[in-house]
Amino acid sequence: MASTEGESQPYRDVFDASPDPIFVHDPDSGEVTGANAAAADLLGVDPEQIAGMHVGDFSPPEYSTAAANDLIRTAHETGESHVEWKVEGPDGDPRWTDVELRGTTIDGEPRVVAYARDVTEYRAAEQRYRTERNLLDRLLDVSPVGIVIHGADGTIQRTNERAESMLGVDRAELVGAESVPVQFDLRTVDGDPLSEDRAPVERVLETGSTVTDTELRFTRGDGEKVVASVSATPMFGDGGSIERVVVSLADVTTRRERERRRKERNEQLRTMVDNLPVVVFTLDPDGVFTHSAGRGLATLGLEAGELEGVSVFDAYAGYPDVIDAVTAALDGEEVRTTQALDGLTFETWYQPVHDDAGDLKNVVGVARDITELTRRQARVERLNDATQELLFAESREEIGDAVTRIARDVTGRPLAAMWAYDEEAHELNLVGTTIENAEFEPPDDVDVAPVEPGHDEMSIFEDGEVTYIRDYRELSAPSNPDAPLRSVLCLPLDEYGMLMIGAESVEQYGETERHLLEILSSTTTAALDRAERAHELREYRDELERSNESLQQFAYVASHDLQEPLRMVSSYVDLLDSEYGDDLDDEASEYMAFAVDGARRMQEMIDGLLAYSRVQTDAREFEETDATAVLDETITALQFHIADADAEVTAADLPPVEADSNQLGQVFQNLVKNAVTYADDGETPPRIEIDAERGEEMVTFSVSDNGPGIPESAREDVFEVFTRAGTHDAEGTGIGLPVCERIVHRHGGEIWVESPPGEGATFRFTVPAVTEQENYV
Amino acid sequence: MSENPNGEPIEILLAEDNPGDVKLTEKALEKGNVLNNLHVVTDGVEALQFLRRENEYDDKPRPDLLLLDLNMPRKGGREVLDDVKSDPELRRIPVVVLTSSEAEEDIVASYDLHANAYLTKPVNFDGFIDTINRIEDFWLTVVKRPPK
Repeated sequence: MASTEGESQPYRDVFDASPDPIFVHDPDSGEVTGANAAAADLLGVDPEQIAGMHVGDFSPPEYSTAAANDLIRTAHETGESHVEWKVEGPDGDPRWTDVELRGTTIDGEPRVVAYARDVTEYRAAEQRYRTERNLLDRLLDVSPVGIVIHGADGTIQRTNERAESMLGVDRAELVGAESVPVQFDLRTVDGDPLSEDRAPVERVLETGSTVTDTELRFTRGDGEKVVASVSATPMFGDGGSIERVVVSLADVTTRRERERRRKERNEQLRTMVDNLPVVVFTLDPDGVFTHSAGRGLATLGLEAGELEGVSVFDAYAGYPDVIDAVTAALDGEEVRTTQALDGLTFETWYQPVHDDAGDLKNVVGVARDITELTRRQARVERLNDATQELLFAESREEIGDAVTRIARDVTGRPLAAMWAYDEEAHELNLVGTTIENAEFEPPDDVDVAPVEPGHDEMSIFEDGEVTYIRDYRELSAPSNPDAPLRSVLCLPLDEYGMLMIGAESVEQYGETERHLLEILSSTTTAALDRAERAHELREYRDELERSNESLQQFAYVASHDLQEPLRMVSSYVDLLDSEYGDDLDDEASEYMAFAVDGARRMQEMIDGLLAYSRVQTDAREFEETDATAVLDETITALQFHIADADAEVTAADLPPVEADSNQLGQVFQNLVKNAVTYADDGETPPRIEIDAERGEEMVTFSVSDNGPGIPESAREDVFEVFTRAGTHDAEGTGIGLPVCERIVHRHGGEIWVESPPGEGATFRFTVPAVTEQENYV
Repeated sequence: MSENPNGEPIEILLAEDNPGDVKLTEKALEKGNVLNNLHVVTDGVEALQFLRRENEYDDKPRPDLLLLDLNMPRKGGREVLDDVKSDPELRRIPVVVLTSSEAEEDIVASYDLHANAYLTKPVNFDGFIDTINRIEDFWLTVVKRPPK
């Protein structure tokens, strides 16, 4: 029993027996004037020792002695105060006390009674609770799932951060909120409004069972639509009634969106595939159709999916091409083939698809109907060939035959006709026709009337425009009213005529067909144009040949037939001379001499003409010719002539040429003989030089003399028949140079004369050189 | 003028339509040195009749030499040549083509038809005499003629 000063015994007993520590302090000094046993226990001191202790002796570290004193003093002055007081217990552990200080007077002395309650256990429990509570809060907040806790009345009690951000509303606004469905416009994923009693929390409250993974769409606080997977779980209190409902929200907006897009894409893909102008299909490893789609199915008379479940080996047993391709594809080969199916042409592509293990998963196939494409290609190719054919045709008739045949092949029309315009008769005549009609006789046996002025066809021809006649029978003035024609497309061919493509019934002509026919008609026009020009050229050439031939004939016959009477004249003048010469006087003898000379000159001219005409008639083929040898022979032949004139002839080495050696010799002979003759003035001996210059294709020969030369005015004329150069009356027929010119021209060369004043004359001519290439041959 | 070895005159048939040439031939033969009888016909038909002694020619002798012009009316020299050379009775008679043509084709054609010689008529009288004399010399004296 702790001793106190001046207390009455009953209170003393209560004081001592109190389980709570009680200290009595002197407010002025802070000294402990009395304490009970519990107080001694709290501090872990002997009860006898406690009186006389100072409050500062057991104050917590945060209180200084002065501060502890102040606390006591203040409590006395205010009458009452309350503090938490941590003290060091007997085992050194901290003890928490809740202390009530009360100012009072005991035995006339001011005193403060400190009534302490040990709250150490309570504080520890509270601390534990706080920690757990914090952990829960943190757990809630780090949760990737939004959590909303509702009370039994449905109002929101707690939420976490995730829920806050998902709902787009501050937590403060959420707590205590009611009617979540209304606030967030809850709807099903399909967008149907959700009635209040169908909301998860309400259902849990109503049924008491958990609602799991219900996908709901709601509108966030900021207006954005969110889809969440919602679960709601009831939490029961001790009494078995629902105290709370925990709602978890998982944002599946992205997933849903992705799913929605995938679905949409699939839908689009399907729509696309269904509308592709192809057949798309898949086959399982056994060759059974697992899928078939595409608009192309219709061309095969099939519906989408109709083939599914059918084995390709059954469905296409009659098409070995298909079976082969499928077999190869099932063996893992990518196959691309062109196949005929039901009269159509398909280009089909088989692509084997393997799984990760490398096993065949299926075969994906795409088949494209290329029938029309192939047909068009064939038409265009036909038209192409036709162009070639047309361009080689030589006459209107050939062109007519060809073009009508082509028109039929390209268009498939039974009737095609080409009419040619006859300018003189002013009418169109049938020159080519193709008729595939058994009832209509071929045109050879039928008199197809020409198109004349006044006929409808003539107007179209004159108009020059492509014209479609819907029904030939309805024309007011057709040229052949009985023709089995209905619709006709008329394509005028410029001034040459008209192409007509007919049908036996009233039909339309498509764009493509017209287009092809227009190409054909312009090709035909070009062919006709070319044929006409070729015809004119041929006629001109024939005419030229004829005229050349008759000239040739004339020259030959003239010289030949002139020979006979001339021979008579000269022979009988000779005979007269030999038999009666002695009886003639001088004058008569002179007359006779003139006659003889005239006959001789005439004879020379005739020989010259003959030589001139023989350039063509006695022509030989060109061959490699040794010009030096030819010239040597010529000089030998002229040796007496050269010797008579006391002439000097020098020749360089001459290159070989491609020539008629005979004629080359004739040219040399004429030129050398002329040179010797004209350069011989009886005083200076003639000097003749023969040289050659080798060009790339031609050799230019030159024959120069030291004679008087040829005046410029006469240089052109020397090559004319029967013209003689020089001023004096030299011998010669005047045919030598024209013969030379004719020969040189025949060799594709040129001949000319150069005669600078006082330097004599130089004749030059060109003859084809022997090219190296020809040497190798 | 010399005699033939057997003293008989040589029979010559001249087929020629040009009287000028006929005269010249006569003159030339006159100046020659072979005794001869010159018979003249002016076309091919007559020439063959003469050779075959037909119609008015039945008393005519078989010629020792035929001088044949190529250009004649009715029947040309080539045809006469062809007929003569394909006739076993006549083909031994030497035929000398005497013409104004220098055309190669005439020459070739004549030899193809087995002409024995081809000569062009010279353009003056001296040349003509020379030619006829050479024919006489060669065919009537140098050459051994077939028996008649």
